[in-house]
Amino acid sequence: MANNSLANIFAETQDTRLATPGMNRATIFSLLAIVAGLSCGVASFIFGHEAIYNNTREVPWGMLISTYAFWAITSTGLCIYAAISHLFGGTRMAIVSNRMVWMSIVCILAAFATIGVEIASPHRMIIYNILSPNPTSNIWWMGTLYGLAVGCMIVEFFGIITGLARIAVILGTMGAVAEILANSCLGGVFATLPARPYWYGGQLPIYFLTAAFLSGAAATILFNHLAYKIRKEKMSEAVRLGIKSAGKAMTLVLVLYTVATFWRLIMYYVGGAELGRIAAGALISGPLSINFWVFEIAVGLIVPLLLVIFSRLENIGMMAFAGLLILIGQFVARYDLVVAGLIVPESLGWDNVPTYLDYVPSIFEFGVIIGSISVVCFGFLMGERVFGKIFEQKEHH
Amino acid sequence: MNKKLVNAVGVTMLAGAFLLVSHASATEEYDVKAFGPKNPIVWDKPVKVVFEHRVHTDNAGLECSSCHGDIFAMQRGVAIQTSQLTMASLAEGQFCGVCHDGDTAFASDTNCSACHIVPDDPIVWIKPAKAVVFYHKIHTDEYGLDCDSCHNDAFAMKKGLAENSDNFTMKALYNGHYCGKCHDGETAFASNTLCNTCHIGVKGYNRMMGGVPHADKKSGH
Amino acid sequence: MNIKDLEKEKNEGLDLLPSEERRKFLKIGLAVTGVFLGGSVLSLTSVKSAKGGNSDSVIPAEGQYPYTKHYGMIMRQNNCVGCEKCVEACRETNHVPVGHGAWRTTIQERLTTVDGVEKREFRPILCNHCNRPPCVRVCPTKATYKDPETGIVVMDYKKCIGCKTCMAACPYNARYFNHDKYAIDKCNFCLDTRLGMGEKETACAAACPAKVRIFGDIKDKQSEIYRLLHEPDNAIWVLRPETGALPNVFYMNA
Repeated sequence: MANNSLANIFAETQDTRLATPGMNRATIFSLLAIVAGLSCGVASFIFGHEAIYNNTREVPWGMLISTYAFWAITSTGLCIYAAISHLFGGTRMAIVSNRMVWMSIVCILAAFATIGVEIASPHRMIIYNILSPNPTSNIWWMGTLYGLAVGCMIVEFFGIITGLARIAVILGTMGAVAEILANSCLGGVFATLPARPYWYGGQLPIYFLTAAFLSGAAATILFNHLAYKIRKEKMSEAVRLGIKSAGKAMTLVLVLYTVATFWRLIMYYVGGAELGRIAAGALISGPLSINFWVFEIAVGLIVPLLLVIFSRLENIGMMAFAGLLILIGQFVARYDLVVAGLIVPESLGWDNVPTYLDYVPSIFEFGVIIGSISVVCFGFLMGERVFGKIFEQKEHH
Repeated sequence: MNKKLVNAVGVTMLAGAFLLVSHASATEEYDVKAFGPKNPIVWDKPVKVVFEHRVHTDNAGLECSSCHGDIFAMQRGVAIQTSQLTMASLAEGQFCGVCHDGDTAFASDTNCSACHIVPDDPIVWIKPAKAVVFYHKIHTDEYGLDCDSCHNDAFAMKKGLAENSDNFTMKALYNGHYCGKCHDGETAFASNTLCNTCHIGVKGYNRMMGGVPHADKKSGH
Repeated sequence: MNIKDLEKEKNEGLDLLPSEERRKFLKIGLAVTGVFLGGSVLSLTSVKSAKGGNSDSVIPAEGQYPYTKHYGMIMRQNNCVGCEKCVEACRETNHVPVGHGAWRTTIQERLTTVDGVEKREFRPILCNHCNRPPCVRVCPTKATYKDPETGIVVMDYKKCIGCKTCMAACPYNARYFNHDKYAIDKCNFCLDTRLGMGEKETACAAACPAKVRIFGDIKDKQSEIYRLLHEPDNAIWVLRPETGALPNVFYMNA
């Protein structure tokens, strides 16, 4: 009986137009890439984290943490836009909000997958996060709130596919609140460490939230564009208007984020701790300068802004490309933020330490990153295939 | 007046150049048969010692047979292999001590640096604490000390003797032993000050030995 | 009671309110805001009564030690000759693995040239067992905590999830990943290996030939560390005071 009703639900939500060999191949390919990425992560448990990942005593975090932050921030952004649409109904983005809820879940799962293999003993985390919680720990709150958020969103999504609009709205709101708080605590993880002047300070949580709004809008445009691309169909006018709204939001936040980035870096050069200034120098003219100027600034901010202006918010393809560039820029920005904070040695001036410590991600770390991207690809494809129909529905209330 | 000076300088220089040339031609005509091997003999054991045949033949006017036969064999390395070539046996009138007795030639317990070479390399003690450096050169060249300023009073001539003694400690130095004989705050800086002038630590030692500073170099720094 | 009657009542004033009442009221407010702010607000009170000295002193003020004993160490830094006997003794006593940056204490070296003369300095470092330890605050599972008896920052290895946040949070690079324990490890002033066995000193302090490391209870007025800390002529400093961690490892020149 239960199976039957479940089958009925899927019968109503699945999009049979996507039951094509090409889709199947893409899905299987992304599944294989997940397995490969997972193997890289599992290798760390077999051979030891210190042997598999290029992290050291001085640089304990690297690309895995930054990628976790990237997906978590993107998830927050998607979730917030979806919740605003669901809650206030009237926004034009409401029409694509179901897809955003799904992609928000997918992104947070990609984040969990990444940090799951980054943490040395996740089994201890499951036990002692519950048995021995530390209320002063930002990372405890972050993990707990993201866990809560994904729980809320899964129930919300269940409400969406079963047509229980009330549940969907309530849980969606709770999920979004949890996501915002979790995102804030993620910023807090870095912002509350006086030992790392590059991270320390009240700006970072706001910066992360701004990044969430930016990545969320970019991901909304990109994934919706792709959804119609794989169906080889044209967007309906209502969806177009929704995407244009997302484009407006993206443009606005792009400017805000640029301003925040500018002031954030200027701050280090007017005084304050030496280590912070040296870390900023890593971006401006040091080992991360190509990442910063080419990927963060040019690819991630300037080119997308120009593309959005040229598209006049009409050319969805161009805007989707801008969204992709923003996501790439954001990915690199998170990497630079994490790495710059750590590669400045605390023992500067002693032991002849170099101004910047070496950190280059290992091949296994790259493997995990490819795996996490594949989680998002797989999630996207499966979502379109299994729940495609409700992604095109009007608001569910 | 000025012209005279210039002339004088010119003549002196000419004479000097001529002398140099004639000296050079003299070296070219070095007579191995009369003066013995041209290059100095360098003994590494028990410590580094240099012997120049020419100083003894050309300058001092000795014949080959003055030494070779009874005192030193003609073959290379025989004296060393006997293990008898020590300062103690010299003092008893053997080997160089036959002549270097204070009458025929300067006594073997004087004028050390005539034969002994002051080591360029520092001594690096690793006991009781790793590691302490001592530079002979600084003490002889910069502070004008003689070998017998320290040997055999503060330090015996024998290598490793101080290091293997239980008494080679800072406390002994404070009591005027070893380096403390001079490093008392009056003759030289007191041995309880400027620690890291001599103490180079494990890191300094490893660097000096060209090794890896730390076992955990990879992520140490 | 009529509201108008209330107006006639004399204002008691805040001064007359028992401090306990006020504290209770504040606590309600704190509880409400605290739950949301979670990490950030509560973190300021993680070790409630521990304080530094005056704003311009790094020495803990008298009567401000919340622990039964309050262990600390003072380094007579210029006496250090870098022989690393402390490092060896620590490695042996506490089974610190070799490689992958594993050490609980180490000696840093600095070479500078002053007036053409090369100057060599050594500086021993180890966990500073801070009064406001950033590592303890950030640990999600309380795997690292201040020992209530001694104030020593210790590890409960089985609770460590290996998130490495404490390593990022530590201003002193005092933490490392111990493969054998598969957890983060650090100096614990030999609490389990020596102090717990009745020894009075840490392995490193005992091994030092130059008496660089003076270990003891900074509450004990008879202790050498107390004497050195409160000697008016001694210039005492701590490492990275700007982080506000209130370290219990002090430095001076003998």
